[in-house]
Amino acid sequence: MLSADFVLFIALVYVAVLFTVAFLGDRRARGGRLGLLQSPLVYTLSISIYCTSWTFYGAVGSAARSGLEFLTIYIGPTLVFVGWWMILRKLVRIGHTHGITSIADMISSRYGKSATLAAVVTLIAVITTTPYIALQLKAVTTSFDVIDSVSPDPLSGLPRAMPDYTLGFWIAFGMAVFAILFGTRTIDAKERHHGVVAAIALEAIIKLVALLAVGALVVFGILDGPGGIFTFAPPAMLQTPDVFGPRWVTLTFLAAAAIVCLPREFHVMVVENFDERHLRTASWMFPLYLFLITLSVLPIAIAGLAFLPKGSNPDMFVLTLPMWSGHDHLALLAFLGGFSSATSMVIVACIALSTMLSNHIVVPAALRLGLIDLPADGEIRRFLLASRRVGICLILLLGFLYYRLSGSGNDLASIGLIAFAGVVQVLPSLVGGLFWRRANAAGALAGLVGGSLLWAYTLFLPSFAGGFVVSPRVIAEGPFGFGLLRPHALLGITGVDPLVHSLCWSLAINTLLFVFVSLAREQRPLERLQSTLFVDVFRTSAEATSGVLRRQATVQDLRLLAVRILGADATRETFRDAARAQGLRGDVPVVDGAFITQLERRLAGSVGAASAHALISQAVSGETISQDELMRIADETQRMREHSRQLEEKSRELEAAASQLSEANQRLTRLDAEKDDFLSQVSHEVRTPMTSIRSFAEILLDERDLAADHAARYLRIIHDESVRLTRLLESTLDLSVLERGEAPWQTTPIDPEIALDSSIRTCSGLAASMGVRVICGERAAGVRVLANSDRLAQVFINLIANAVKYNTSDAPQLVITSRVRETRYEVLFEDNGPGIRPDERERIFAKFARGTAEARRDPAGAGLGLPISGQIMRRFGGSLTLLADRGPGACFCVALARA
Amino acid sequence: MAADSASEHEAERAPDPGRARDLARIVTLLGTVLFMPPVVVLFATDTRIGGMPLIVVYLFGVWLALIGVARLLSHRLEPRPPDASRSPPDAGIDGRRPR
Repeated sequence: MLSADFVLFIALVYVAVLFTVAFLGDRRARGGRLGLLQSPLVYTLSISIYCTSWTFYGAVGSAARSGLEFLTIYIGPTLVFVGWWMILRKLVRIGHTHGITSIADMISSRYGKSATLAAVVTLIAVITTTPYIALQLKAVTTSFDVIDSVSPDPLSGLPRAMPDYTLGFWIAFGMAVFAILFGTRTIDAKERHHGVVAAIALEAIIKLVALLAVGALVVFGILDGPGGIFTFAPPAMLQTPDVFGPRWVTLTFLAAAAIVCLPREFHVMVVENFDERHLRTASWMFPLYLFLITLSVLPIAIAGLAFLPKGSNPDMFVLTLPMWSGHDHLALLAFLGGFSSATSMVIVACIALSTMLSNHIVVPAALRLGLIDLPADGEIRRFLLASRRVGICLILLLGFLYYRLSGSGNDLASIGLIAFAGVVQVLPSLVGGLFWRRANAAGALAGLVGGSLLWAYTLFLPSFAGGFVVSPRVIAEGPFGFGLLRPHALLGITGVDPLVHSLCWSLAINTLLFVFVSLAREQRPLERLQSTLFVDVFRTSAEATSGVLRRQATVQDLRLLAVRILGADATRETFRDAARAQGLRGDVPVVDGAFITQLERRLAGSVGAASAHALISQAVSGETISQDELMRIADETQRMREHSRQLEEKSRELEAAASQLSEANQRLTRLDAEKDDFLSQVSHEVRTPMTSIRSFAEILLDERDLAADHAARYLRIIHDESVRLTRLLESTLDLSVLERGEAPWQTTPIDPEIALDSSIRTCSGLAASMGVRVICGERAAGVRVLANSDRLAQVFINLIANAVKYNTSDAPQLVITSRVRETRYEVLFEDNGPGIRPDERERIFAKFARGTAEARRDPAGAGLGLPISGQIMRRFGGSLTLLADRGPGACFCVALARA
Repeated sequence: MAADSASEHEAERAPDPGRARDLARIVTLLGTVLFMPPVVVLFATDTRIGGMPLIVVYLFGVWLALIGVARLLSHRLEPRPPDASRSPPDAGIDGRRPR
């Protein structure tokens, strides 16, 4: 067992080492020898203040109570860092470009440098960090009690019923001294706190080594290697699939959001970031750190449950296990690890919060009350530093008071989760502001206030178990017995884990308010400018904005203002640099919009964007925001997007046009071939009669003494051939007229049956001479169609004549039926001739095509009848088709729509 | 700074930052899916691998794999767009320069 004095001595030595490291780090940095201090490794280690004593002690406690659930707190940040390209990179870039000093400054700056928003975010941050700091104090005090064996049963690890609050107070006091000494040396947030960073990097290593060492002791000293650990695990610990329910998802989301929203994380990740490329290394190294630090958690939890007395405090297993197994030096290391994790978090949180308090609450209040307008050198600067120092003390005092009031109730993990749920209320405004242009200050304010109030009502206030504002009665029955408003079952939603319940409600209301109020309100010009600068931070250069804000000021006024905030030396340097950049010799720059914007940004690095804007506004006159310039910047990206969209559309149109052209070309080629075909067929058809006419005419010319009957026969042939020729040419003309679709026909409602009857009568002579029986089958009656009766008769006659002429059957017959089918009127011409071969079905409707059977019987047919008939029917909006598989002969169908 | 200039060099010979960017997004999404129900529930069985429950091996395995992939990708992702490497905006005045 270790003596209390020895533990205290070691702790004090360790604190002395931390002070020395911080002091040396600061001195090295001032000497310009940054070296390792500026490496990605130190950057990653400083981010690991995420792992507080909640991780160091609380993760084991959480694992012992709810199994694998503790992993969510580390998986969430892992995913955020693996996806650093999406959010963290943008945050860091904006932080660099705009000289952001804190998360409150970030949000205020994004929403038009709103002082109200900055104050609200600061308040949320203070309220949510207080329990967190209390948690650290509690963990350190308890661990001290356990290790120096003051409590009667140290192995149980339970905090004493009456904890030694003086110890907690002195620890808080020590942290305040450290934070004030090394955290408030300069007021410019971008002049990084190298001493602090060096100390927390050392502490990050100590806590990792300590936890790994205890893990190694458990695995290899107490148990036999990694395989054997899980035989000691209580069956319920790891074999519960219900761990992976809504709470698992919620906690992972919560942790992922918290790593972005926690003020201290924002401070080390964004404000203290020296080089954007460090984030690239941290993207895998920080998850690796988390991985290593959780590696020991399960073995320690299992061994603690298995070997330590029943009812021991799982939150202290890390400490009590080495003590139980007699490894006191290891217990001491574990104590230092826990101490490290607590102190590093508290120190950074204090620095971040005190900056926010002084920049966003104290300075605006002082400006409004007129407390600081004495034109003294560095007057605001001293005021800022003093207010930050007081702020640090105040925050630690608040944390101590919370610890004192809340006593020893909650376990570490649940306090941490309550704080997380509060701090992620910033998430919608923060992430929405990064990606959504229309998001505005009114929306952000509504979301933040609404979400935070709900969080306070459903989670924070009930966490005091009725000890603060909300009484146990209200928790159980709702305010004034109004059951629908019970904090843990809002609107009667019961059976949900209180944390999941609170987070869903508060974030949902937060996001809804944020979105809808943003949509309902217009942005002020400054908001619009800032929104463009933030959302398009990778596309808009800082110079582009200098023309937007138009304001005039005298060099004297600006110099006076700068001296009050930055001090005389820094002011002289700033003005000289600016003059040089403008190509001037002396150290008096030309005051133009760009210079004022630069100076404002420089001041914002010290007092935050909102206060800097307010201060500059006092010194300048005639501040106007050029709407045109604003439009230009705001629309630049929009225009580029629009331009590329237009290009895309144009190329699509061109593509469509090209494909239409190629289609037209194909059609033309086909038509051309058809025309050639047609011409050669026409000339062929014309040549046959012409040849016979010419030869018979020559015979008549040459032979004078030709017998009269011969001559008469030859003349008859010539006459017949001329008639055939005329008919052929008429048909050709007819077809070409039809095909061109010229000369519209008069179509009237007619009874097609009358045309059909007259056609049958016309053909009866031909049929009788050929011995073909024409049978009229069933006929439709009272039908009206829109057509021209002469043309329709032409079609019928053509079909009847074809059927009569080309029927080679022994008892040739033609059956004509007509019918009405739905809206169509159809006439069928069915013969018992040789039929049409399947391969010819398509071809017979082409010009000059004849069926094989026809060609043999009647070489005189021109082969234009069917094409002409087809064209006529098409002009009437009907059709002429050859029905397939209807008996031995051919069956043509004429169809028309009923009028 | 030595480590930085080395990594910058690697970024220069990176074949296609666009592909790496897409990969980074997809890997994040994939990691999220693998850690969330219903996928993770599939591994919550009684099976043991070398004495360790399958679910423990799975969670830590996926985690380690993610870290490995993130490390590979981090070298291929550009630290900043090429045009930003020219003089950073208002470099003279913003006090970022090491003193």
